[in-house]
Amino acid sequence: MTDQLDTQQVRLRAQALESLLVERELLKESDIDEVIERFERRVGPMNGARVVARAWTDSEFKHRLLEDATETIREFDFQGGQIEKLVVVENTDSDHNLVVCTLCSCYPWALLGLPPRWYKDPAYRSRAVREPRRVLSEMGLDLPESRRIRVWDSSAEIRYMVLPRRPDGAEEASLEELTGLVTRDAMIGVAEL
Amino acid sequence: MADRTEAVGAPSANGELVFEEPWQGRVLSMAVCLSDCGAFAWDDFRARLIGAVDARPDEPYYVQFLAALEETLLQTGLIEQADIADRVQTLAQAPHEH
Repeated sequence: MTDQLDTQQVRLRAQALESLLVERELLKESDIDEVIERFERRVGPMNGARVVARAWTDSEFKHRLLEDATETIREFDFQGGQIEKLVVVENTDSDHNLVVCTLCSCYPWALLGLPPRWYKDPAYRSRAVREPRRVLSEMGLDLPESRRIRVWDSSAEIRYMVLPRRPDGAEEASLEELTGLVTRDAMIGVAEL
Repeated sequence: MADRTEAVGAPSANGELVFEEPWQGRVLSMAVCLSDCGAFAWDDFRARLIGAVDARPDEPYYVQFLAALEETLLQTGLIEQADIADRVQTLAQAPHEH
């Protein structure tokens, strides 16, 4: 009952804020609708997946991406995110990368859309740094002991994205098919493909 | 093209609802729009979000987010605390539209 009242109160506060901002012409309702649409449909892990598939098939692009991702992704003309600096980290046979934001929920929106709920969870945020192997295992990813895990904390001005290992048996796949194989979780580093 | 976007953007591995309730999407969008149009710097908002997450660890993410947005707007002087309280009051008394 209390929860319901709280939710109702929060909803009213959000609504109050919006109506004040619209009334004072600081915002238009249609702008808000537009951004929601962008997040729900157009932005999404799809953008990141395109980058990954391109890196798998174009070694010159991959080289540039790993050197300077911020500059390299400009050619895609992605919209809708506040990426100051993007760093792409590559998973290999010896290294696995995992992305977290220990302070809040910094995330490469323009590439991956909105963060999943668990990414914002205090337990993930603290444990991913302390005991990454165990967290990954609980999320269904058991890595060989020999594989080193590197954890990247997005708390600075930098957003990270993982370049997953290309799955075996996808040698003949087209760029488009490869794009379809890439999942959001693999680009955060909590899954492999 | 749209079909393909959706097919790739929402496979089962990524099949989580983006927003649990519509107000969450609107709050997020308000922050993005206000920052885009220069009402405040995204970094200022982010600093407040970090503060709100820290100060209210047990609250749901979008409640923290809304608190951070309110604080940022109060700081800019574009909105006063009393304005929000008055409007909440008015909306609470208004007959439901839906």
